[in-house]
Amino acid sequence: MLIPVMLGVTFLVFFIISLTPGDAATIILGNGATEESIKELREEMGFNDPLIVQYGNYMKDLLTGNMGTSYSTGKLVSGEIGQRFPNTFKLTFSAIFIAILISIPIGVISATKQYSIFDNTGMIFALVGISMPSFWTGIMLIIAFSLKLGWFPSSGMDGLQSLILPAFTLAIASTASITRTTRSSMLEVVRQDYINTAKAKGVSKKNVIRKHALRNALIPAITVIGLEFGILLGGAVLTETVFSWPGIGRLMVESIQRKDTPMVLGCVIVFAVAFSVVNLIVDILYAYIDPRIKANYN
Amino acid sequence: MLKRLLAISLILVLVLGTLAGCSKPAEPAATEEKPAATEEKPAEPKAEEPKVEVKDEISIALDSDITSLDPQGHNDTKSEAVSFLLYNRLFKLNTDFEVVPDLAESWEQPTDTEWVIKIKEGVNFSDGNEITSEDVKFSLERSQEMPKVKHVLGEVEKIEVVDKYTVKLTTKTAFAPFLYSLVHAGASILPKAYVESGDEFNNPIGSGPYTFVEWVSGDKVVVEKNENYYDKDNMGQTSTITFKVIPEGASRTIALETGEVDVIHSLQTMDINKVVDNSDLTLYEKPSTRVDFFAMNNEKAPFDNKLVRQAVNYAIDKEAIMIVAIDGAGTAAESVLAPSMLGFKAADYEFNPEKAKELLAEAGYPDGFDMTIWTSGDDRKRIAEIIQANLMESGINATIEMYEWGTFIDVCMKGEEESLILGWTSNPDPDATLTPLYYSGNIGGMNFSRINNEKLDNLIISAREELELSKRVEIYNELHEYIMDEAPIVPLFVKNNVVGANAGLKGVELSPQGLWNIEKIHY
Repeated sequence: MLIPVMLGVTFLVFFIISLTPGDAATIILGNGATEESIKELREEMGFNDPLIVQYGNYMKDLLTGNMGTSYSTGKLVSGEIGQRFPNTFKLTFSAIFIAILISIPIGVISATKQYSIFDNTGMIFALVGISMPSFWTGIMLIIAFSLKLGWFPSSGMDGLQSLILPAFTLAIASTASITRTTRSSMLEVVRQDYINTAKAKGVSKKNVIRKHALRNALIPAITVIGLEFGILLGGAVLTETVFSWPGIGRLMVESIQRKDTPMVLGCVIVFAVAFSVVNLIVDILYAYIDPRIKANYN
Repeated sequence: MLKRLLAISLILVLVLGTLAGCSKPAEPAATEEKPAATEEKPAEPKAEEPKVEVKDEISIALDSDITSLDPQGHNDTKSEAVSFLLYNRLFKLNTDFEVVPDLAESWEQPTDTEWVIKIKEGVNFSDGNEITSEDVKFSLERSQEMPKVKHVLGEVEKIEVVDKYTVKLTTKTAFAPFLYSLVHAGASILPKAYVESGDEFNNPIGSGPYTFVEWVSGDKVVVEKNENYYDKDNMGQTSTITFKVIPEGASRTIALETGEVDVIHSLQTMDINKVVDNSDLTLYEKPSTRVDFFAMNNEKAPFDNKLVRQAVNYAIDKEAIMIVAIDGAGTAAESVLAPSMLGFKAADYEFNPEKAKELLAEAGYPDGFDMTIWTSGDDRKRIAEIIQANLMESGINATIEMYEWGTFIDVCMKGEEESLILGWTSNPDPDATLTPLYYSGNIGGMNFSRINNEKLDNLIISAREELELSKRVEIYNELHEYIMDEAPIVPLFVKNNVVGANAGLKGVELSPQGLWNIEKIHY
C-alpha cells in the first residue's frame, strides 16, 4: 500500500513543481548572476532534460536511498530532514497527546450530561477552538504567556518550556474536533439497548460509561485522532513559523519558495510515510479496541 | 456541585482567554518585569546596590536561516552576516560604503588592468596556520568556480602568486569598481588546506573575529569570540553571538520585547512604533541601497515617447506611496540609485498632476490613455493602487494585473508588460546596478524598462572604465541628470534598513547594507 502511494505522491509533486513558473537555476544563483552562469548551471543540473527523464533519474537515486542534495544549501536532503523531522514529530506528538488528554474526558462528560451547562460550555469551547486559525492562536498565546506573564519563551527550541506553547496551539483545533466526535459517538452508544441492559443488571454508572459505552464509542474517535495526526503534521507549518520551531513543515514551505525540488520531494515523502504509518497504527488499534474487528480477520 | 465548578472554571478560561487577546499594550505591565539578562548570576542578593551585570552574550534574530557556512556558497545578506564574522577578505566596507583594507597591507596598480596586493604578515586562521598568498590565490580562484558567487570576480582574468605575501590580479579590462568586488563575502579568504580536506564546511575554519560553534538547521547559528584575532582594534566585543531564526515578523518583535533576543536584524516596518515607544529598546535606521521603482516599457507605445514618461514622473506622489508601502521608513527616491551610491546626484520630478496633464497634451494624449501595471505580491499591490489613483488624476486609466513572482519576473524579462513595479538592492558600486538595469545589452535580462539609448550606454561604459575617482564621479553626475531626463522609470522610494535593539547595547552600527560590524556589538 505504501509503495503505490509513494509513487503517486512523488510523481504528482515532481510535476506540479515543474509546472510552477520560475526558473530554478535563476533562483539558486540569486541576485547578480550572469546569463552564462545560469545556462551552465541549468545544463549541469540536468534541467534541460525532458521532465520524465528527470523524474526517472530522481526515482533511480531514491531507490538506492539517495534523496539528492538541496539546490539552495548544497546539503544532503536526507541529513537535513533527519535533523528537522524529529522536531516536528516531537511537536505533533505532544499536541495530539494534549488533545486526547483534554478532549476525551470533555467529550464523554458532555455526552453523559447532554444539554447541561457543562455540555453547552464544552461545545462552545470546541466551536471557538475549531474556528481559531492557529497562527492567530499562537500569537495570542505568545502575547499572554511570553510577553505579559513571561512564563514561556516566545520562540526557539530550548527544552520542554519552549515546547508547551506551540504544542498547545497545535492541539487546540484538534481538541475541538476530537471532542465533538467523542461526544456524538458517545451519545449514539449510550442509547443502545446493551447499555440499558447493563444498567438494568445493576452495573454502576461509572462502569457503564467506562467499560460499556466509552470503549465502543472510541472507534470513531480514534479514526479522527489518526486523521488529525496527519492534519497536525501539515498544520505544523504555521505553528512552526509563528514559534520559530525548526521543523519539517517550515522546511518544506521554505523549499517550495526556493523551488528546491529535491528538498520538497524529500519532505513530501516523509509526510506520506508518516501519515501512512499513523494510519496503520490506527488500524491495529481498532482490532485491539474492538474484538469484533479482530474476529473478522481470523 | 462538581458540574457547577467545572462549568464555572470553563467559562473563566474562556473569558480569560478573550481578555488576554484584547489587552492593550498601553499598560505598563510588560516593562515591569524585564526578564532580560538577570538570570545569569543571582549571586548577590543585596538590595541597595544597583545591579551592574554585563551580559557577555547576545542573540540576533534573523528572518530566515542562513544557506551556507561556506562564504562562497551563498549570495544573501543573512548568510553574509555570519560569514563576515567567520572570515576575512582582502578589503572591507566601512559604514559609509568606503573600501578599507582588511587583510591587505598595501596595493598598487602597475597598469590599468593589474593590481598587486600585499597581504599582512603573521595573520593566522583559527587552526593556527598562517595566511599566505597561496590561500589568497586558491580562494579567489575557487570563488570564480562556485556557481553562486562566480559573478563577483567575473572581471578577473588571472591570479598569480608573486611571493609568500603578495598576489597579482589581472582584470580583463580596466575596471574601476574592482576593489568593490573584493569586499563581497564571495571573495573571502579560506584556508586552502581545510577546503581541500573535504569537510564540506561542517566545522568551518576562518580567520575572522569569531569562530564557529554550531549550526542547528532552521533554529540557530552560534559563534564564539576568536581570542587570537589578528586585528586587536576590531576584536569581538562579546564572547558568544547566537543568530536565532525567527521567520514571523510579529514573533521577532515580541522576542525582542521579552528580551529573548537582543537585536533584530531586520525589523518589520509595521513594528517601528512599538520599538520607539518602548524605553527598553532602541531603533536604528539608515537608508539602504534598495530603490523601488515603477518601470515603463520604453519599447511600447505610448511609453516610447519621452514626454509621456516625464508626465508619468510628474503624476506620481512618492511620499504617499512610501507611507503606504513601508510605513514611512524611508525617503522618496530622487534618482535611479540610492543617495549613498558613488556619484549620486538628485534629479527629481516634483508631484505635479497639472504639469503631467500639460505634457500629455503636448505628447498628443490630451485625454490620457489606457494602460496596465503588472506586479507581484501584496506590498507592491498597494503601491500599484496608489499609482493607479495618481495616474487617474492626470487622466491615465490604469488597470492592475497581479502575477505570481516566478511568472512575473519571467514575463517582465521578455518585455510583455506595459509597466511594472519592482525593487532592486544595489551592490556598493553603482556599476553593479546601472549595467544590468539600464545597459542596452541587458534588454531581455534585467533591463526591465528596456531602455536602449546610445548616450546612456556610453556613459555607463566610460564610468566603469574610468579609474580616476573624481572623473568617475563627474560621469555619474552627468548620467543621473541624463537618465532622469530620459525618464525610463519612476524611482519611487529608498527603503531604510531598520534594526531594533535592546537599549543597553553598545556598538550597534548600520551601513547602507544593514546591520554592520556585528563584532562590535556588546552590553
